[in-house]
Amino acid sequence: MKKEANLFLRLLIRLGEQASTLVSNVWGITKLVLDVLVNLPRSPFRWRETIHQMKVIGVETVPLILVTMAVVGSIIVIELRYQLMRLIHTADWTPGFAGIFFLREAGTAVVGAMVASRAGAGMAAEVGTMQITDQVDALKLLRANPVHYLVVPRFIACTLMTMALSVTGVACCVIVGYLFVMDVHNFMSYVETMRKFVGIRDFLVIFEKSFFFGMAIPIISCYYGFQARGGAQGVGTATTRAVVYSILAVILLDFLLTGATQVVSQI
Amino acid sequence: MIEFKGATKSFGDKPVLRGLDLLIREGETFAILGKTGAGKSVLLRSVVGLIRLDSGRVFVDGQDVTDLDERKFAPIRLKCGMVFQLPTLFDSLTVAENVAFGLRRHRKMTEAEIRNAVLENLELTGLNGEIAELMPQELSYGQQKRVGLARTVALRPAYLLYDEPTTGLDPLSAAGINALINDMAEKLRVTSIVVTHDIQCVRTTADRVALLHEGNLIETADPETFVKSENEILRAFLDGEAAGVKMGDC
Amino acid sequence: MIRGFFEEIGGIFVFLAETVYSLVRGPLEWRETLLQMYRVGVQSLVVVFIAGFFVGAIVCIQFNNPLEMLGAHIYLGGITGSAILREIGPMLIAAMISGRIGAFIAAELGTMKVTEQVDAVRCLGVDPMICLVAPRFIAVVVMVFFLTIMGLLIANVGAAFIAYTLLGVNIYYYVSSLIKLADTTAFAYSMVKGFVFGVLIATVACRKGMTAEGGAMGVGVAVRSSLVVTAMGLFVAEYLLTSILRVVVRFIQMGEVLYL
Repeated sequence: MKKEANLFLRLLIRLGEQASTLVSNVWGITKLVLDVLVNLPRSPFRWRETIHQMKVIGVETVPLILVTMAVVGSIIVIELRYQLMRLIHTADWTPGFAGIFFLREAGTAVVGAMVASRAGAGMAAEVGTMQITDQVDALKLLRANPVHYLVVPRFIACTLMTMALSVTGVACCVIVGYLFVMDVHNFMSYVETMRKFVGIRDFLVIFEKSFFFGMAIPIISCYYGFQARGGAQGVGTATTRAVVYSILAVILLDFLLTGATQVVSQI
Repeated sequence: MIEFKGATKSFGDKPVLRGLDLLIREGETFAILGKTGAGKSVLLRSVVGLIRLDSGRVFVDGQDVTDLDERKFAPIRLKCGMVFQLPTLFDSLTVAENVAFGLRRHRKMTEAEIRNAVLENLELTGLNGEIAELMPQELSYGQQKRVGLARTVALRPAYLLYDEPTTGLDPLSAAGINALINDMAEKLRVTSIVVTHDIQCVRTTADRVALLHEGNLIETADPETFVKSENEILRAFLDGEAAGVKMGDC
Repeated sequence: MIRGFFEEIGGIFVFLAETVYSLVRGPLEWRETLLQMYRVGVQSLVVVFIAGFFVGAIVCIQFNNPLEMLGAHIYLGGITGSAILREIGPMLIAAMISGRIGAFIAAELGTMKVTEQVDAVRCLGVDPMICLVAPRFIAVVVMVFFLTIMGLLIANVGAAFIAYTLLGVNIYYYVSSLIKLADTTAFAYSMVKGFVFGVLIATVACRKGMTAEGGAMGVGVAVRSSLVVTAMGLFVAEYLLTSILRVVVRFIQMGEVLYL
């Protein structure tokens, strides 16, 4: 009896620890958000660094996005085609359904996850390495604000680039998706069908969602970068955490935005 | 006995062993001196198959192990206990679990028997049984080295291969290790090969010693004769060492 | 570069074969395996739950509009559940946990390799494949499979939940179409994918760890390389599996028709 109580107690303590870590992390991230917003308008504006980050985040992630979106696009079309055949016995509306997913989810959330994996990991690693080699402390001693110096350029770069990459991703999906309904549609009818289901609003949604995703990823990645402790291993831990929680944040934000859109449309 | 015949090994275009011949006699403690990177460790590792020679032969108790399959090497490794330069303790296991590692997998022993064996081997290497439940990170470097030794001798090998046992230790701890090497040789009746660049270690522990220079052995003799040698290369090495250049591989 | 690509693939399959051979030869170290399963599984459970729930909800919401437009709204449960089981579930799990688990295993084995602990294992007459790799391999395969199933269930719960609360769908219709349409094929898809993804993640991570060299930097290289290869491998596997499974299922269905 005692042994079970002991185990249960330990599990409870563990859960408690995890909960308190969660709370302190959420609080820390909130503080960082505020910090970034405060430091945004502050001069000097680091043009070169921001552009450099845009190159790193944007250009280097393009191949990954193209490949990923090609696969995702084709799978979405294949899957939807199968489902529609089963339900309504025609594949004609496939582009419509596919278009919805391309514009609302694939182009945004999946692209966001990819950006988190690549750029987010990179940012966490960079900031993390600077943290454990005391360079962040050095910045503070030189009266430079680490948030202004490190986070703001990445914040701006990532927001802009995520939006650009999302558009690219959607385009890639649409083009590749066509290949898998070629027997039922020519390109004209493909686009026409899609336009029956998706409109300007959905196109704008791409920008809306990727905007928020692009903001969340650098904040979370840099946060965990700053949290890195204990040498090379610490950087590794920070990077993994940054990626996982960035993706989680993308999912949660996606849910909130999707849900909000849905609620609004039902009013 | 352990024998090398024409042992040759190169790394890229850097030759490290050039047709080396050596016979290690039963029961002796043989020391191999040499500059850092001269290939001393390569010799040791070729005995247990961690490194394979380019050409030449290695014999352990008359058995040719040069081209032995990795899977068949286990018995040889149990016979020739390797004591690494860095302690290489398993850092996710306690000291006791480290020492018991080989015992658990090669001997059928009860938990109580294993417990006793662990304490016995810790004592043998001059450690207190109190550290048994500690993690390797909580020990000093010297203690870690002793635990590493305890882990190896737990399986009572017939040979002990020491790779730079005193490197990185202060003179007092080094003396302790030297005494330990002699202890092992005497109590466990093992044949020992000690690879080192510590003259003091050689003087204290070795029956015979040789210098490994440019892929070959120079001047094999007992320590006293060795130290008084007139050989140019030897003198250069010994005097360099004596001048206090006794650092690790850095 | 092309040669490197093929070498990589070849190396992975060879390593997989060696691992399976070790598993068959045995004996498996049970205690170690269970310990690894705990470590691998527990760290990802919460993440899978949260991600699964919300992704399920999102997918449901997105299917809602077009289905309404086509007047096929009653199928919401079925199509959502089916899509989750066949595609989204496995992919989601793979995306969320492959990085974490892979990096964890690769880093651990890599560190053991560069600090010569693996050599120490060999010198104590123990096969590192049986002692180090096999337990972790099994742990990852089992846990990824388990987490995939868990994720799928949670996703469906999330989808149903949002259908009921936000979209005002009759829960009875939702569940009945779900049961009707999320058939054995869909389950087969998710299980096969879960298993294959697990094997992929495990093999790549263990291999990268065991072949790490060059100190702390080498471990970093091993981890990053493991993540990249795993990610690419998962996409390729996803695509191949979907295509192959489609053909296989159709084959089986044709066979059933002929048989009956």
